Amino acid sequence: MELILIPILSGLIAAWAGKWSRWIALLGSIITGVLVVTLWSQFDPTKGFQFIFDKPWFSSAIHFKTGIDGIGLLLLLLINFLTPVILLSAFGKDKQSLVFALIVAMQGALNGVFLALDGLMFYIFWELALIPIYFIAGMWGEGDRFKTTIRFFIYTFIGSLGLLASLLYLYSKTPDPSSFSWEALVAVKLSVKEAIAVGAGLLLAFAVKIPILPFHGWQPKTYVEAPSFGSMLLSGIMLKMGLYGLIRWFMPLVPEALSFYNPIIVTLGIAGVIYGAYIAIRKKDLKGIVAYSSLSHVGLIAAGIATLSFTGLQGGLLQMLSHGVNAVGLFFAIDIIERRLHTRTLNQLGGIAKVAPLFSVLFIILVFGATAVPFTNGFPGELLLLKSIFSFHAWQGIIAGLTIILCAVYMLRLFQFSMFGKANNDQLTSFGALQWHEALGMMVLVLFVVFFGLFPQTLLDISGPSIQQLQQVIEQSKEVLS
Amino acid sequence: MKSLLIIFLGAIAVLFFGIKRPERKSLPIALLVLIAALVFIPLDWIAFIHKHVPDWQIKYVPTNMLSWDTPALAFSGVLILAAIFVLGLFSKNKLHGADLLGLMLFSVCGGLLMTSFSNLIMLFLGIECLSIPLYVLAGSRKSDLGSNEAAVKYFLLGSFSTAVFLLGCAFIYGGTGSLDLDSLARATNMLGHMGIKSQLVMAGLLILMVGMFFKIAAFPFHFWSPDVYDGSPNRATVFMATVVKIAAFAAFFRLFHYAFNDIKGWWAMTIAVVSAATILFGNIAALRQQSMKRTLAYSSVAHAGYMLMAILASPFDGFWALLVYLVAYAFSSLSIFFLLDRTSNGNEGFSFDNFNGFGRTNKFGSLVLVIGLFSMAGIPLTAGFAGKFGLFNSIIGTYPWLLVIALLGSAISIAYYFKVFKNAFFGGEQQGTKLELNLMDTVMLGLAVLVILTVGIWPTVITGLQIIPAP
Repeated sequence: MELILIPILSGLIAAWAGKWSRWIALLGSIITGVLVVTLWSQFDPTKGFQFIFDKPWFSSAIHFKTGIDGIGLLLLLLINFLTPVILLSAFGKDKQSLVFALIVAMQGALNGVFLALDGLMFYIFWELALIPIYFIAGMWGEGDRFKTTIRFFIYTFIGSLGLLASLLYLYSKTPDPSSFSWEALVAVKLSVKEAIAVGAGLLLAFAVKIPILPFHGWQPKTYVEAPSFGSMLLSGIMLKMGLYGLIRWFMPLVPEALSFYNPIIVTLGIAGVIYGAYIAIRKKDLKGIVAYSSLSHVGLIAAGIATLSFTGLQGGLLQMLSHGVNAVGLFFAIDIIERRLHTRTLNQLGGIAKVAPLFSVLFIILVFGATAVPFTNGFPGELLLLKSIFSFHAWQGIIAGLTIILCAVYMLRLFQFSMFGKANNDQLTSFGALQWHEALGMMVLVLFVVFFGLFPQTLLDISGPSIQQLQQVIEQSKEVLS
Repeated sequence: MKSLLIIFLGAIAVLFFGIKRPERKSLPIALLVLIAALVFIPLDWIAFIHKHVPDWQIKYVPTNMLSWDTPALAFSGVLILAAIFVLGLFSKNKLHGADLLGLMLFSVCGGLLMTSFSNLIMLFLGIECLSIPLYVLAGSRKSDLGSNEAAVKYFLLGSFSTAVFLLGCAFIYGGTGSLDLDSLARATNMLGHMGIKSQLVMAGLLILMVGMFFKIAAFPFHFWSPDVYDGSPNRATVFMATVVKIAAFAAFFRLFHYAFNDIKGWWAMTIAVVSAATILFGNIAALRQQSMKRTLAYSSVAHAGYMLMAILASPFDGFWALLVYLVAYAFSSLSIFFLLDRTSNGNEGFSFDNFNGFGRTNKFGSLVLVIGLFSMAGIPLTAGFAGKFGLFNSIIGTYPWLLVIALLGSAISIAYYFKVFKNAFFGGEQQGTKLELNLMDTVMLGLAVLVILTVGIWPTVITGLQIIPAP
């Protein structure tokens, strides 16, 4: 409850606070982060949903119900860790107060998404999370931003409406007294045909958000044209909504249709891996590279999750976290470059490593993380994901394995051409040192990359039992059917 | 009952008071009259629930003509509230005395008859009493061709549709021998149970529906509405968009749920199809408009399509959904039309460009704009979402295909509602029209936003009310 309210309230205050707004936003964001950490310390992984808050809301059937299990906790940790960093990245004095207000309000809405245990509440926060990012991309974006943002909004809004339709249908099937709670919706038994139809609605919402291949039309342009903090919010946090939705709301709600959908998701996910990587290799715009690499990474995550195996889900979760951190880090680094050199086209850059050694060290660690070099955070997740896909279907596993090579190609290309070599930019001499908020943000991210590359088990332990419980729920529903 | 009397007498008083005075002097009186009438709504409500209806009311009021049950009171309350906001917020007319105010009050009287009728004759009287002042209001900018066109179009089509409606009443009377809602309900109940297909009643129903579709501007009987909305002065337009819509939907709902609920099979499919067509047509046509006023006119056609779903739903769910939706629609229309009115600087060009750079200049104004448009588009935590959710929820079991179309319509509507944001916020450093707000404007706009948000966040403030009899 307070995880949702504090950020939104501090957003409201920050919107009117003029020059203090960035401090207010940062404070609100950090307080929320601290609250999540205290919840983590009281959290018992084996117990299922905890810290339940349950009050009737829209009607007796629709509650304001929040609760945390291991899966949710990991994502809450991610969001409330990343939002302060994103705020730091935008901390320059030239920004309007609304920027900070929207970022921190978005934190609240996202916390709502990951806390919700009531279908309608989930939908409401799902939609709310869209609004700040819409304004961020529209007001501070570049290029033909209206067209891009409206495309983005309509894509995701149509997806959300599919979600709403499916939830409403499930709700109308709940036995009397009908209820929108997660448990009630999970308990609904559908025929396979119905489940496929309902699943299509849910999947539409999640596939657009993730995005899985044929639904990715909004993504690259939005990433490239949004301001950097917008790209960070989108790639670092918002994508996770879709993946989380897949785990929490798609699989348990329509287990009857999983044998139909899962192979499709795996195939499309792997197609996304290859497609995203291929385009990333050919892109010249730094942000474009990261945008398409993002497409490639989430494709792999979605495929791993859809295998429904324990390793796949664990790897997916772990990779969600590390992809969030890495993507935010990369956009952060690109923003730092762009702010100084006013370009982010690959062939106009080069030689930055010589003038900014600290920055280049931080940057290369993030690049390693994204490339899944061992002992960085990207490695264990990717390993688990590939293993799960391999045991799902050997050939698909092999194709997905190409990601390691392709990713190394485009990531190292990104780093090498921008940081090493001949200087192609006359402003390079005035590159200067990192400002305090930039250095702080980057270091926090790098610490995360290294720490969880070395000790991924700390994270896996949180989510393990919850994932087993989730698998049981899905299995039970399947058994009843057959 | 008392509200109706107060407004009626008040209208006459305002007319006399305003013979020689400019309109702004009579405005406080008109507002006071409406507020006094509004106060009696909750009092009557409580009295009705506790069965304390006073003797004189039973003795002197022909009870088979009007019945002030709780659903009627609920719709009347929303209607009067909307009228207060229309009068309070919109630009004053400088040419006239108090005659336009008086006309609006009389029109509200007609609306109250429509929310609380229990006899088709009374409904007919209500429709006439509501519409005739509106014909004049639509043409009240005498020197303007568009306004004259609007008045003529509205008058011709409005009176024609009323005639059609009357024909429908005649057919129904021929088929059932009654015009009273209760006896109609008994008669149709019998017809429904015995499985008799009365041709007269079926024809009558169809014609009645056509008459009502005209009034609420549902496809394919909507074609008058964009021209009339566009041509009329802003105050008349928003009066039509709020008060008239509320009255027409309350009447439609009451008529079909009270009298014809037992023969739902005869008419439900027609309404479902019309609803779907209206939603699609309204939204698609709105996409292609250049003038913002016309866009809003077409979007109000689309909103009518959504609200038709309430007629299809079960009485209880449908009632609450319709009520919430009407509140949402009325208040968001009010706030958006207000901003449109004020940014147009007196001239009547209502393109989206009015809002260029608006966000940079007005903080409060942009808050109102955002909340109002969100509510119209049905974004969560605004009243528009609560209304849409209620409507969707009430038909999901019976008409899933209609739900799909409605969702598609919502998605389309985003494209034109959000076009305004492009002008208002995404336009770079440009400065827009500065909104001049006096205290009353600020308070009323603030209240409108508050209502939208409160109903959006806790719809139970409305749906938690106690109603008897269950409609």
